[in-house]
Amino acid sequence: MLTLLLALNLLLDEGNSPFPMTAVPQADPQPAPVADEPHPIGTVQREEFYILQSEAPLLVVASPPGLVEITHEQGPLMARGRFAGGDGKTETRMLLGNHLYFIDAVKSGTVELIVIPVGATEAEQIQRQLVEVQAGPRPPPQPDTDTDTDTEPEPDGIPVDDTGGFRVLLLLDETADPDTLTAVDSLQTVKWLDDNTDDWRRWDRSTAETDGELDKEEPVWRRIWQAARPALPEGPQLLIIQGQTITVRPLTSQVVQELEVSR
Amino acid sequence: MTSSRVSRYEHILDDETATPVDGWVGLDLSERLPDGEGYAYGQFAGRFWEDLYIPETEWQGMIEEREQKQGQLSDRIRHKQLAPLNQGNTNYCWANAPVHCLELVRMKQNQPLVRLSPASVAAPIKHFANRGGWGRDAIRWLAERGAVPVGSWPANSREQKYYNDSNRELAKNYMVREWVECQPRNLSQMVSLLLRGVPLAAGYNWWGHEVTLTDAIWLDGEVAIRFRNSWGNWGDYGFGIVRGSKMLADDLVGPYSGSMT
Repeated sequence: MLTLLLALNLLLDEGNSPFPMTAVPQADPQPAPVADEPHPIGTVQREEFYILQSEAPLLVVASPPGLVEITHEQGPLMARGRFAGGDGKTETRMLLGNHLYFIDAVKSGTVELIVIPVGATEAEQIQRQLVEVQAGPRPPPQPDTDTDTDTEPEPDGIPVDDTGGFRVLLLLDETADPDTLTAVDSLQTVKWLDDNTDDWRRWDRSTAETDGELDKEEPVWRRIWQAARPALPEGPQLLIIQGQTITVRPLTSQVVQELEVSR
Repeated sequence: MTSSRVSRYEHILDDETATPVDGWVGLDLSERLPDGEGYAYGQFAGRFWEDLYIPETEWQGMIEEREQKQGQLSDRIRHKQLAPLNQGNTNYCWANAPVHCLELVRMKQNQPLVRLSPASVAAPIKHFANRGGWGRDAIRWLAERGAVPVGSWPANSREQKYYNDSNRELAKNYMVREWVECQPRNLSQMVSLLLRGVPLAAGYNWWGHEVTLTDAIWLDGEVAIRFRNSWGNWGDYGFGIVRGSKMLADDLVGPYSGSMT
C-alpha cells in the first residue's frame, strides 16, 4: 500500500518533539486559540503512518509491549499513504528526520510511547506520549455517543505480594541473541543493577521452569516467579518489580535504557 | 581493532612456548570414551546444538564489542574480585575447573559469592586419594550432589571427616543442573560458547591439565583464549592466554546454569 522513496537530505531543528503533531494553519493572522496549538497525535491506526522523526538516534519503547511494532529507518524519506493526523486521504509527505521510527498498530489498546535520546543522562530528556492503538480496520465515522468501546485496556503490570523494593529479574533462554547477551554481561548493566536495585537476579529460563529449582531461592524471588510465570511471553524477558507490581518487557540490548525509564 | 589488551603478567602459551611446570596438574582422560562424534558425557551434559553457533565472520566484531562494554567474564571476575582457585599439591585440576565454572555461573546469576571446595567434589570420587580424573567425573557429582562451601570443607582437604551428613546436605545448595559439551578440538563451538558468556572447563592433553576458559580474545589477527588457572595468583590474577593449536581442548564442557540458592 505504501511506498517509501529516498529523498532530499533536509534537516529538522533540534529540540523539536519527535512525535507527529496536529496541523495548524500557517498563515492565520489571528492569534490561535489554545485548543488549536499543535499537540502530539494520540491515535495509532492500522493502515496509517504514525512516525516519530528525529535528527539524533532515539530509543523508542512501548509500554506495555505487544500493542505496536516499532521500526527504525534512516531518513529523510518520502512516504506515500495515509498519515496520522491527516485528513484520511492518501498523500505524499517528505519525512525530514535523519531517524524515523514507524509505529505500527498490532493490537488495540492504550500504549505509552517512551522516547529516550541515545546517551541521555537527564530524566528531562525523556518524552512520553499516551496513544490509543486501533488495530482493526479504520472505523467508519460514528455519531457522537457516550458508550465505551469494547476494547479491554491492557494490564499495566502483574500484581504481586509486596516485595518491598525495586528488583530486577533478567530471564534468558537459548534464543537470546549475542547482542543482548553482551549487553546483559556488560559491567555497565551489572553496575547499574548493583547500584540501583534492592536486589536482582539473572536466571536461565529452563532452569527456573524446572519444578523444585527455586525451592531454596529467597522467598521474595519465589513469590515474584509464582506471580509472573503464567503471564510471561516466550523468549528472554526483563521483569521489573516495584513494590506490588511486576512489569514485563522483552529483554534486549537496550536493557540499561529500559531500566532507566522504569526506575 | 588490532588486538585485545593483554596484561604483561598474563602468560601466553602458544606453539612456541614450553609447557608450564610450576604447578600441580592431574588431568586423566584415559576413561574418556567418545562416541562417533567425539562426545563423551552421555546423559550428564547436553551436546552443543546448532543454534549456539556464532559465525566465525562475527567473532572479531563481537570480541571488540564485549571488550568495549566490559562484558567479558574476566571483567566481571575482576569487578567482583573473585580470587583464583589454588589446587595446591592436589591432582584435582579436573574438579577445580568445573567448580570454578559453577562459581562463575553463580556470580553471573547474582547469587551470593560463596567459595566452593573442589576437594569436596574430587576427594569422595577418588576415595580420598590424590588422583587425577576428568571433567565428567566432576560434573556428574556437581549435577547430582553439589559442592561444599570452603567454610565447611577446606578447598584442598582430603580428610574423610568432612564427608558427613551435614556437608552432603549443604552441598545440595550448590549444584549445576545444565551442562553443554563441545566436541574435542572444535574451535567454533568453544568460541561460540565463550562469546555467549559461558565459562568452560577445558582439558588439555599437551599439558595434562584442566583449566577454566573465560574469554575469546583477538590477538595478532587471530582468535585466542583467555583462561584461568587453578594455581593461585599464577599469571595475572590467575589469568593466562592460550592460542594456536594449543588452545584446542581435548575435553570441553560448560555449565548453562547453577542451582538458585
